[in-house]
Amino acid sequence: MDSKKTVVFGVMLLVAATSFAAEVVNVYSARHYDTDDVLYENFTTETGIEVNLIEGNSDALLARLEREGDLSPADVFMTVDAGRLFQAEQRGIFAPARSRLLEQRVPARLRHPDGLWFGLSKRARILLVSRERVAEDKVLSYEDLAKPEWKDRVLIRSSSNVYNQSLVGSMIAAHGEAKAEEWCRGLVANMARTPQGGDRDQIRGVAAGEADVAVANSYYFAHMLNGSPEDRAVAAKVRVVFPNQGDRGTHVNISGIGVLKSAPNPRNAVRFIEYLTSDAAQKVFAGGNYEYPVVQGADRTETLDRLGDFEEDVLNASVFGNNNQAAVRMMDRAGWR
Amino acid sequence: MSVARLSLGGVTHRFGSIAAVRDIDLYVDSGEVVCLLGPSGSGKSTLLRLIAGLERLRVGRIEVDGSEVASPKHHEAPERRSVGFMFQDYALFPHLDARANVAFGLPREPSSDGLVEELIERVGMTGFASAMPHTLSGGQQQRIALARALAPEPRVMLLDEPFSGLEPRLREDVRSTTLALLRDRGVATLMVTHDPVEALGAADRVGVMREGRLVQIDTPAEVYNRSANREIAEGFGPINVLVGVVQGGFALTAVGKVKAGEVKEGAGVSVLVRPEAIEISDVVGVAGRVTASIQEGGTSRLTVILDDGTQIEVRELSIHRRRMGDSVFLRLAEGCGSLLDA
Amino acid sequence: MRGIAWPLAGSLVAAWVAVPIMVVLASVGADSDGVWAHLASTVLPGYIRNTVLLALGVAVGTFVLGVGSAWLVTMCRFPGQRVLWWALLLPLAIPAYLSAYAYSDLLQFSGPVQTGLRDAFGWIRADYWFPQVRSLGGAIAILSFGLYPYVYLASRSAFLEQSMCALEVGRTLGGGPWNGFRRIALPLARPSIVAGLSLALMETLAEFGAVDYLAVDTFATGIFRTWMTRGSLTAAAQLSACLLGLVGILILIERSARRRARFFSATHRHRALATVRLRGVRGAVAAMACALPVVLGFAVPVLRFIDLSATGGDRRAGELFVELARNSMLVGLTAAALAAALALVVAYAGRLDPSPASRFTGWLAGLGYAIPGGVIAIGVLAPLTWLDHRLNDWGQAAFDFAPGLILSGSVVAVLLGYQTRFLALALSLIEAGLGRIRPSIDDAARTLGATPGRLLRQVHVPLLRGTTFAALALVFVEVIKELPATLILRPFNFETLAVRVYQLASDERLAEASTGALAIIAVGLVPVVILSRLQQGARPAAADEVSE
Repeated sequence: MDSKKTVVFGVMLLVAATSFAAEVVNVYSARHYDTDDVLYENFTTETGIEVNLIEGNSDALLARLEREGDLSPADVFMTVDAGRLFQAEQRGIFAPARSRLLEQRVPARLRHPDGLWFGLSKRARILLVSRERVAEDKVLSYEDLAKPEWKDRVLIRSSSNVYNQSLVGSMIAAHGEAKAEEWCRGLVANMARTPQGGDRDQIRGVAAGEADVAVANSYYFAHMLNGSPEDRAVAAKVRVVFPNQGDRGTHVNISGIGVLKSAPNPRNAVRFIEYLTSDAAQKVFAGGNYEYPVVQGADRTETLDRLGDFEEDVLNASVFGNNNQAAVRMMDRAGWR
Repeated sequence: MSVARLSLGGVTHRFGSIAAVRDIDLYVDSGEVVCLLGPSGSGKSTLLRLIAGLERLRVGRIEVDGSEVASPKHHEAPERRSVGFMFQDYALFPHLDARANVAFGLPREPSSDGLVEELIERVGMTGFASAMPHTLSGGQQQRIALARALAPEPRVMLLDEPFSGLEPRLREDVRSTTLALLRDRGVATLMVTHDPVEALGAADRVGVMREGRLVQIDTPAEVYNRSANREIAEGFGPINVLVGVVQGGFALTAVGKVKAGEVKEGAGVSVLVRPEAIEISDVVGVAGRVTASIQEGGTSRLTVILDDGTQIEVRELSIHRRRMGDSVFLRLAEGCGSLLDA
Repeated sequence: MRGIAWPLAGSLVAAWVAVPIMVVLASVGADSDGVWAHLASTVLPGYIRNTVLLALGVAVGTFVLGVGSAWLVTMCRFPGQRVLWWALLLPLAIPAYLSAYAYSDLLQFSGPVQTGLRDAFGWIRADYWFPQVRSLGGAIAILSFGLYPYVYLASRSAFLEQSMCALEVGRTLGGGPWNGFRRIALPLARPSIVAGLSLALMETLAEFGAVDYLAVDTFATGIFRTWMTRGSLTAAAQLSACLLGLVGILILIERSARRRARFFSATHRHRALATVRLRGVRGAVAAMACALPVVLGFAVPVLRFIDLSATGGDRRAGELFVELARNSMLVGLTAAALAAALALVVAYAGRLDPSPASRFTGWLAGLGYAIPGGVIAIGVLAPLTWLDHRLNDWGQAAFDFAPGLILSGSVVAVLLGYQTRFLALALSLIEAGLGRIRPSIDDAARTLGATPGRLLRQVHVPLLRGTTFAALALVFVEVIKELPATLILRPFNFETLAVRVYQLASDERLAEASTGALAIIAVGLVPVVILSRLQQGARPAAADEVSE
């Protein structure tokens, strides 16, 4: 072989060598919680498999995966929303994972029937109402938030947020497009301010008296319960209301994971997912980040118990995932920023 | 026949649709100083840049010592032409001291050091070798620029108004030193200026440029006294244009006659006469009366009206102290004056 | 052949850097599956309106703050002037998204300021009016206080270079000091001011994090929403192409302003600027006017972060931060060195061959500065993954070995992304620096036997040392602050300070993010302070040092 080729080959080897560790699993994750690092470390300790990680925005990672194609080093793709899991599934990047263990541990409703993806944890979209200004026995549904009595009293973040998109997706599933859009318009009319900030900002707004009800993910509130003195003071001023307890139940979204078609280490990938559904790992989801475990009977933590028990909307995640685009356009039309 | 140091043939250069330089033929011999004189925009600087290789030649041919350095097909890079250039703003490298500026064009070897010191001494800057350019006065910068340009021993030197930034007294001094040095080293020097006094005083030959053309090139005395046209003549100083009629091979004017050459008998012509070419006396010549007198240092310029009404400018030494109203007699000096093309 | 080597190199660099932008532009004709029509009928008019108003607001804001403070510190002496001289650059070290975090946190309804007011006066929501920080006005203010240093830097050096004589002539012709400023100093400094303004505006157009956090929908946020939320990368790219159109016009204006007014200092030596001493009330007013941008653009956010991190900072600071800071600095330095070198090549090629082609090259290389980093990231991935696939095919065929994603999966991708994004910054400085070197210097060197390469090495590079350092410093700071492109393009296990801050902030843990924010500011501060010191040394020599 001629010398130029040798040099190029040598450089390629050198660069490539860095990615040849012993046993690895390469993770693209749209999760961004510090407690995840504990999960990865524990996994490595238990199995000897190193975890290589890129965290980033879900759609950006998807775009990167698509460009990388069959050369992608990634083994699994992890994201925080059913809609995103559904999109990834639609783009055909997942390969079916066969694992008796996973089928046994993750309820059928929270995984793909062919094993393309598995839910790892759940988060409920709950309401936080002002203890001062909302009666203690007030029963609420998502539908109520669009009623005139809540005019100028509702705080909810931007429609760019996937949790809101999935919520609207579940409204479409429950009421059909026309009714759902009407609901969006009613909700926009009731907003106390242009949507801004994150979920915690909505809760803070209610505590400070800017509005009377906030829509937020359960774990954000749970974090505040255990947070700084300031956060705890905020949390003390609001009360959790699980909406729609009289009918279909509170909307629940999932964080999930799937093995990629191009995975160079598919066996490690499955072991990784199996580990994440183990009791120990589920405990970290619940205890570290206050997400609801997907595994039946996995230990709940004290904080989650403080939030209380509730009925979940048992809608399959792929349904509101499928409704995502309709939901987004609906929110654009309704002027939901 | 010996070959000129620098020669240009049929050089034309356009910027877009504007021809900056048109069909120039020119040579400069070793040790000769040729001045290009013309107003700004007449193409002088462009011509220098073409010779140096800073502009690419499209039409014509430029040779140094008989070998081609530029033609439409061939462009020798400026750094390989052995053509030195001195700029109006001196263009010293501001980050290098005087010594390093001078040494810039020399190979980096110990033998260069001596040469640098010698050049700095030649231009009278011995104490300033370590000075940074911004601490030097204009004249000092100019000298360092000269030493720098001379260092690589160029065969041709191009000077683009290099003295115009200096105050008048200093200018003459620096100019004569510079040109003496260049002549001494046998460098063919082409200098651009818009100052006629400088051109006439400094050059071996003066080339007059107008709108990209070289309209006349000759010794200073010739271009002054026998300018090719009225405009050129006016550029060098005041003139009289007299009407005349050709008779017997001479053009007859109010104050005397001038050789008419090939012009045919009986034709009316214009004759150009410098004020100092007319002799004034109290007895000989055509009678007239002084109507204005202006003192110009050692000479005075008089306006005289002849009896036939012709008005003529005359120059004579101030010692004669003529006044308005004095009667005088005028006569054209032998061999002076030239016919203008019709 | 020799004659075209440099222009060719310049074009190649520009083309390489511009490939990601081309990828974006290539999408214009594609079918967006109805998303574009949906955008046009719902949100697009709002995007255009907000983007234009934001750009106008920031233009006015940075102009007033930047030019005003530059004029005061160069022309007047007042208490604190020497400190403000360099302190006015400090806001450069703070990423706009961090200022947005800090100010939203301080000024929102539930923040300490409004809570304090309510507690003090017993107000409730309906009792008082308070400006909404998360608004177009808030975004204009925060971006203006963050970006004015670009205008300050440019106009300060322009004022310093101006010959005092021109100003004095103005005075003798009967204009007061204000007239001198408005009719002489300002027009003379115009090219520099326009250059500084256009940098600030390009940053504004590309800004995603801050604008998104402040709840203002501009092109940049619209692009991301279209991509991420509406799920159409094609329509997102088409929006980006619209933005590119805007930017292209901006750059054309900037370049023509610079070309039309290309003047070299007419005299060779400067006379030291005669500064006016302001005493008493006038001095105090000047000091406060110049301190205001530093306080609002730097001190307030920093103090807020210090306060936040003292009460609930990042529990994982320490060892993790050493690694993150090392990563940040490593890519920052590499990217800055690369950008300075490439900018030198492009700018120098343009000087050697000032043809329309080379002007186009410079224009092309400058576009990326106004494109949101996330869009550039996608543009970078496309060509690099394509190259990777070709390399692997070849490796497979020749050696039966596929090395994997050695370009797109490595730090190469991040570095290319930074070049596309930030080359304009280095280029604008170095072009301006080269423009200040009189062309006769080049001609002198060439006729003294220097090749173009030697001219660059021995004349231009030493003369541009200060400029090159400024370019290095600015690109370094920008890279330290950069987030979206880093996030998408980084290789495995590669975290920077900005990524860490983003992760905590996107998890709505601002208090914990504040430690990382302070670290970013600290790292960015080093070159900013050196830069300000350097500029101070660049003041023209005092009159008594110049001998005639």
